[in-house]
Amino acid sequence: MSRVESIDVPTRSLPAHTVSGADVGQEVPGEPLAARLAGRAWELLAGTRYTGYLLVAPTVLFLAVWFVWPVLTMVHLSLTAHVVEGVTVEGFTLENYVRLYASDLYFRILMRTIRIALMTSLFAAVFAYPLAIAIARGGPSLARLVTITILAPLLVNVVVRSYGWQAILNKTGALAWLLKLVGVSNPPVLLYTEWAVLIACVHVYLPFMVMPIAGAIGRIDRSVEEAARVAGATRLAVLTRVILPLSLPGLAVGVSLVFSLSAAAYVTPQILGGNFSPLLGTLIEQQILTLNDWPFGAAISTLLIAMVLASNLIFLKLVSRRFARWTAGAR
Amino acid sequence: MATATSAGGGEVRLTGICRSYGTTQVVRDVNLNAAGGEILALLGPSGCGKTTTLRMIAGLVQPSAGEITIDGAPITGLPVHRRNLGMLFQNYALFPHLSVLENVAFGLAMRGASKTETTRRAREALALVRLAGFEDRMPAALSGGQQQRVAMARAIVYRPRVLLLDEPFGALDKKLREEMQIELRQLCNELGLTTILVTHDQEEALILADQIAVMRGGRIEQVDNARAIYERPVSHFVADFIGSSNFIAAGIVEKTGDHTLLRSAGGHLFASTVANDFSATDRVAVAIRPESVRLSPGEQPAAPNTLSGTIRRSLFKGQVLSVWMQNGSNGEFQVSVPIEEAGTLSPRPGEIWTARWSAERTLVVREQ
Repeated sequence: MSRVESIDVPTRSLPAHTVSGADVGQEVPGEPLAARLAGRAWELLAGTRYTGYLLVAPTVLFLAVWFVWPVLTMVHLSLTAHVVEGVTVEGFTLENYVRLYASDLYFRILMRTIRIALMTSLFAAVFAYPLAIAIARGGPSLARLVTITILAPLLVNVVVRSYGWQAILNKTGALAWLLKLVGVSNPPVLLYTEWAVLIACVHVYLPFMVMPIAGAIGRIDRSVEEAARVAGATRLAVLTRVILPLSLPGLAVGVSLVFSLSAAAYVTPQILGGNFSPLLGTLIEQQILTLNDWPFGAAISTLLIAMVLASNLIFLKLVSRRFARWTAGAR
Repeated sequence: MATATSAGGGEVRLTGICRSYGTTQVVRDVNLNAAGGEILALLGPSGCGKTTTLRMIAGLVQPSAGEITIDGAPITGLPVHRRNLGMLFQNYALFPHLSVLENVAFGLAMRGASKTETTRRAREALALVRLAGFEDRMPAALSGGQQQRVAMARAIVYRPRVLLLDEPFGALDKKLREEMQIELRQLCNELGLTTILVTHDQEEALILADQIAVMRGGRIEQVDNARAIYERPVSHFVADFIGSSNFIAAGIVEKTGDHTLLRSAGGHLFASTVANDFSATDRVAVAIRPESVRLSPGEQPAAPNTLSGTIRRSLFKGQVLSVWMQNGSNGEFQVSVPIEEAGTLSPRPGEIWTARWSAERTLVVREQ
């Protein structure tokens, strides 16, 4: 249908006998106006070169107003004000960033955040592979069971989950009790250490690693694995030579998600790491809510966002360059 | 070069092989023998169990019963990677993340060959499939035929005892397929590889195979060389699946040596001089290939191997003219007239013509 026809849309709400013969042939006269308008709108939307833009426009608009603008305001604040002895000094400044870098305490927290985010990604990846293979290559019932099991922690409120881990990891907790039971005389106390934060992060962010990897493995043609086995590859060799390299795109997405989520984690490190091993999130909360130093809090937040963004871009770039080679010629 | 990669094919023997999934029997009591260096085709419609049989030889599927041996040694308990077989998959199954050379070298690397040895032999195998110069390309940058050749090189480079082919040419267009078939046949013969080929394409089986095993419903229907299968099919199914045939249900009325006399329900007599193992109590049919029949105008006096009927339609098919004739009691009858003869012989719809064929071309087959 041509676009010109849209002009006569209102006339179709008139009684049937006034509708022209050509119209009757094209459309059911009794169709409600709303449905017809929707159909017309859909026709205008679909199949033009603007379709793609139109489809993402609502989301882009929403994010621009409620995400991009606030973030820019935050960055702006971190560069235009700093607090000296409780008094806010206005004007362009790099003071907040210098302070962040110069102070040993803040630098250590930054390093710890990166370390925990990296370690969480690493451990999650190691645990994720067997689970992802079970989901992608096991039967449907096994796949469902594994999926539900790894997704379960996400159904529990983060505070409840963290206190749960506290009950397990504290000095008289379940883990200590179990270790004593098997004969460890002086079991290590994990609570309020980086290890506690790491364990809890791996636990809750594991599905974000498993799902993309399972997806990537599921896309590997089974006959490619079979070809490797017939050619003489043991099951281990199939894993390292075929499944691992071919699932790299999934691993990249997983690492990117888990790294970002654990670098920005707040509640879990707060409850399980306490003040002995704070992460950037805890630091931001302290600056803004306790010390009322908004510009410095904004600077830390900006740094966190920049760090996560940069590491994601670098990592995804590396993987996509490798992956592009496999699809060469398909371009 | 051929000697460098020559393997000397193993003799493959399948004894009483069965496979069932739950209560469904996909392969039932298959007995097969492929001599060293022979090309054996498993031919049948989809779902006949041919692919499952091939996968059992590869070790990708475990048989429920029976034994598979190569050169007399049982391989049924051997894991896939220790069977030393080469396999070609329908979709080539190349490693998308490895270059052409790395793909071909894979099997050698798995066998712990040194790097220089691996590279040398992989290059040799690529030259053998006429892909020298493509070493550094990625599979995605190759055409279908080239991917097929890489898969071929990958399968033969480590000198397997047996080459298994699972519908290897299904994804290629007709012309390329024919080229690849001839190339493959040459290569297998050159290397003396025992080859087992799964296909649903009778033409492919006829071109490639020394022996054809026709499968149906998980069973072997007939095993023989291409010519014998075509000229002496044992069952209705085989006569219909390989080439096409006209079937007329008939009973054996007399049998002396290779001479069989049969009579149809309509009282027509058929004489056959093709050897068969049937007796008067067997349910059999007479099968006549459309190209065995000669046509003459008008109605002729009743005689053995003669049918008269009304021409229904005729169709020009390039090399032949296909004619369908309606015979009262025996239904529709198809005749192929070579195009050189069709000039002088032009049956028109509605006319009465007579079909006649010789006793050497009258096949007696088992009815289902």
